[in-house]
Amino acid sequence: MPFRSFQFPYIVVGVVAAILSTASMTARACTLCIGFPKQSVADYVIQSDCVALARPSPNDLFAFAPVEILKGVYRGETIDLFVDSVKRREFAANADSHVALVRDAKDRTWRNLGIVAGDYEAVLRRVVLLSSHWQGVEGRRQRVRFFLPLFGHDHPQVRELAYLEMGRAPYSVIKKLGQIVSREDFSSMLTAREFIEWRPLAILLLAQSNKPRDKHYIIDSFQNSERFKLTKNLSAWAAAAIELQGAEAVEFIERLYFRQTDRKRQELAEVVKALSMHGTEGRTELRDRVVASYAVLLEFHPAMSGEIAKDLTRWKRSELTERLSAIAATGESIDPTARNSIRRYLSLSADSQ
Amino acid sequence: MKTCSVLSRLSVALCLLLVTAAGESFAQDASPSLDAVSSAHGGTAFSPYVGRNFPPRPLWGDQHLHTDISVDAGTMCRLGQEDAYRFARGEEVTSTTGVRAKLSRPLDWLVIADHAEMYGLMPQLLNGDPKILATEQGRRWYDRLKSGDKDVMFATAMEIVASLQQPDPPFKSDRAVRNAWRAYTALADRYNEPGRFSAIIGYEYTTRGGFNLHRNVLFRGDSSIANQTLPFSQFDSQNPEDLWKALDAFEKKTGADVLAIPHNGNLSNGLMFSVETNDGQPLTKEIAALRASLEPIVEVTQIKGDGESHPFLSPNDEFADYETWDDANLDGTQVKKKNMLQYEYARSALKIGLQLERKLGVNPFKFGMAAGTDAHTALTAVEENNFFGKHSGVEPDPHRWEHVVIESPKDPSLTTLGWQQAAGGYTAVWATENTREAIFDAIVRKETYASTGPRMLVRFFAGWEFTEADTRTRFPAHVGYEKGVPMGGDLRNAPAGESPRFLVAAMRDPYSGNLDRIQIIKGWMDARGGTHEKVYDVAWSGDRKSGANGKLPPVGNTVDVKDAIWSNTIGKPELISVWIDPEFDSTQRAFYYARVIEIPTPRWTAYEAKRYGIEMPDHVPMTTQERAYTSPIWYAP
Repeated sequence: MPFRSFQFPYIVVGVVAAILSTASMTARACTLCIGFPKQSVADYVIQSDCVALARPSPNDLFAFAPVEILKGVYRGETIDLFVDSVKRREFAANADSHVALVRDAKDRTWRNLGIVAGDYEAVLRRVVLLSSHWQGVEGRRQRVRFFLPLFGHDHPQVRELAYLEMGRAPYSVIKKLGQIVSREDFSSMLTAREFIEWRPLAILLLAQSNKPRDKHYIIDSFQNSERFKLTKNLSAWAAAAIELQGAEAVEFIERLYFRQTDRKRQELAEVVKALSMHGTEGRTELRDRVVASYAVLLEFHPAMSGEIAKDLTRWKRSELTERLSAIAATGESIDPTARNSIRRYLSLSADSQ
Repeated sequence: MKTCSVLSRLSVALCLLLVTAAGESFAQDASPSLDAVSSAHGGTAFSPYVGRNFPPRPLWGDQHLHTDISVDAGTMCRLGQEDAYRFARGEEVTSTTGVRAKLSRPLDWLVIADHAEMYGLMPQLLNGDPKILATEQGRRWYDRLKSGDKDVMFATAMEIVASLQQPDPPFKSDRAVRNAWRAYTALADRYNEPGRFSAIIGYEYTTRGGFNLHRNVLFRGDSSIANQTLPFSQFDSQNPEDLWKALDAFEKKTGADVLAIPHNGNLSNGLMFSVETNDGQPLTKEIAALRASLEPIVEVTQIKGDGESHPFLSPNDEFADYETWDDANLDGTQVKKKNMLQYEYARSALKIGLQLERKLGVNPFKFGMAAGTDAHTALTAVEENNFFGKHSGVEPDPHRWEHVVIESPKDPSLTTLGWQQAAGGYTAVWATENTREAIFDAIVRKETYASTGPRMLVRFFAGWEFTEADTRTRFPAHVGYEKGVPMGGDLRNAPAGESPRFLVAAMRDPYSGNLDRIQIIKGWMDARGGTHEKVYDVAWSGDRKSGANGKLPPVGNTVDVKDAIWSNTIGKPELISVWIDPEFDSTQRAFYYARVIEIPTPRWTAYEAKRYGIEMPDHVPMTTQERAYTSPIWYAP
């Protein structure tokens, strides 16, 4: 089946390709947009040693039998997957339907990726073909380039796959994407319940809008999250606010989160994610301001020291060595993971001096 | 009773003798007085109904309805318990989404079974109860829900719903629960109208949400009984065995009667009818006995799928794959495996029960059949042309068929979409009168049947003396009770060389389709402990003959999907038969139940497509064959 799934005009694809060729492709995926599921179809294909299209076995309507192997070798072993009623209906209604199955290369267990047909099957076949090249910086760039044109695709499974892939792309890519996709391509993700897991991605895309209405919506939503102590999508709202307001949003976070002793750890963790992302690959010019806020955070919430140490290590900043050293020495409210992060930070700080 | 002649007196005496003789074989707890039956039957009184004290008609109800008092429903549904009663009694109400709603006919009884967990929190919270707002969590939720920001409100609603899965309540107030519970029991008393409508008091114990080990708890008595306790919730214990122990203790302490109805097992991923205890140990006699005594019936069909049989377990049953939900557990977090199915479906569980009875001396799965909606809309509306959905997020709307009903957090292919909803069902109870007590007692003796919606009338009796002539009576119940035991009963003392005989009769719902056939499903255990099942067609419409495969040809199909109509030009309005088990072995334990199948009629999706001018994909079913499942009758050597 020919590969045809372009929702964007070709000119836009061209622009995107140009953007991507210059975008900074760090190894880090966007830390805010990863909703669920955690793994995408492309991940399962990459991790597999066999990919098959399958239908119910002629001998057992509740078991699958491969009809085409797309990757690897299938030697006829039993596939411990169940043909459920929805699939049975689909197979009964459409003699050409099939599911895609993947066998994990490590534990050899099979996984059902669901019914594949039409554009989705075409995408899957391309993923199988191309995914072996999606390693390293250039590979990740190719992967983003592959999925970018599928954003907002008519086919729901293709669309969701693209959402997931783009949601895992570095923020710099999402930022560029937000400048070229129209609001209509993701507006339903902001409101419809069935797209709730994709809302963080939509929020980040919206943050690239120049429209005052969108700006107000983001700032209001972030302030509502603060006021009502919400954690759902908090990191995305905070990141969007930072994108739009810069230091003003960082100051807001410092004042209303970091300096407040009654803030719960989850709330703090969410806003730190936003600061961390911008300090790493978003508005990196704010990094000094973020580090200053982290000093405040350490003062009021030393339990957050692990997260802070990771960022300082990544950014090679040594301003807070003394304070983190003291926390590590006293063991103040920190768990073993945080202690390790601090140790690593202190060790690298010492090496660099 | 007046008798006017020696002949009449002799007839009565003869009848009494015969009945006494039969009674030794067919005695059954709580069945009608045989004296009364014989007095009414046989022409000894002018009116054939004089002295009758067996159940004259099935009483229809829903044992599983949620309102805004349930913490999850309360985040979306704006209809309360009073709305639910009014609707069930036949009044018109307006749904949460503003759609006018009315039943085709009133129901006879209803159990509003709101979740025990944080019972009644939502309305009190939304009304700004000062004591709830005095707590940090209560204040926070209130502020968010009243923020006017849809995102904030939705996020809060999701947080509250998610809290149902937590081992500890995020908000705990016995006072708030007590207030809501007492308001409910008082309301139930107010709407309870003996002879017309029974408002049976109950609640839902919602444990291990993802695996659907939920139970509806029903009280026989009124508020004075129910107010002596508070709903037992998963925050008290996540182990259903602890629920049984608590209910048992309550009965012993108060002298009151309670029972529990397990929900549809099809989403339990092999746990609902497990042969192990909750902590994975082999089932004990004590636990089995507790379950058997407290769980007389099981919900075999509801909006979240039908659980009577599964085509994998019953490959020779062409009607087994009905409204099947079998891809995962309730919340889509665990994929289904074949080996789980046997512990989920009623027919299989009934067979396992025979094995456990041999092993333990008690059959924990000796249950009758019930149906329900599990609707979270306060609307117990199950007819295909009047279906209001699982929750207020899927109330009538042009797109609800493609909306998500339950979203899997792990795998989109396990997410359940709107079209997959069954329209739910009702439970028919053969109670002697329409009172809480009579309905409860009928449930205890399992004299019930489950319907996927239509209110068809089904009688089912077993005995040793039914004859073909009994099918010609217009009073099958008279002869049924006289010669046998009704659904839910036990058949014993097989006469030498005799096989059990079953009198089964069904009459269609005048609002629904004609009848295709009546089947009797037999399950049995052989001498080595292996179990078997077989489906027999025992009465059917038309002059169809079984094919070489032993199967009766399909009845046909008059459904015009485009216009969502059908005609009753096929099938029959009533069917009756006496069936004799041709393969009976008096040494083997067995059970028998009847399944009555309608002719094809439009499914709710067809009505929806017609109403809204929608074209749905080929895999969306547009027709259905509604059905009823009677409680079994068990035979023991």
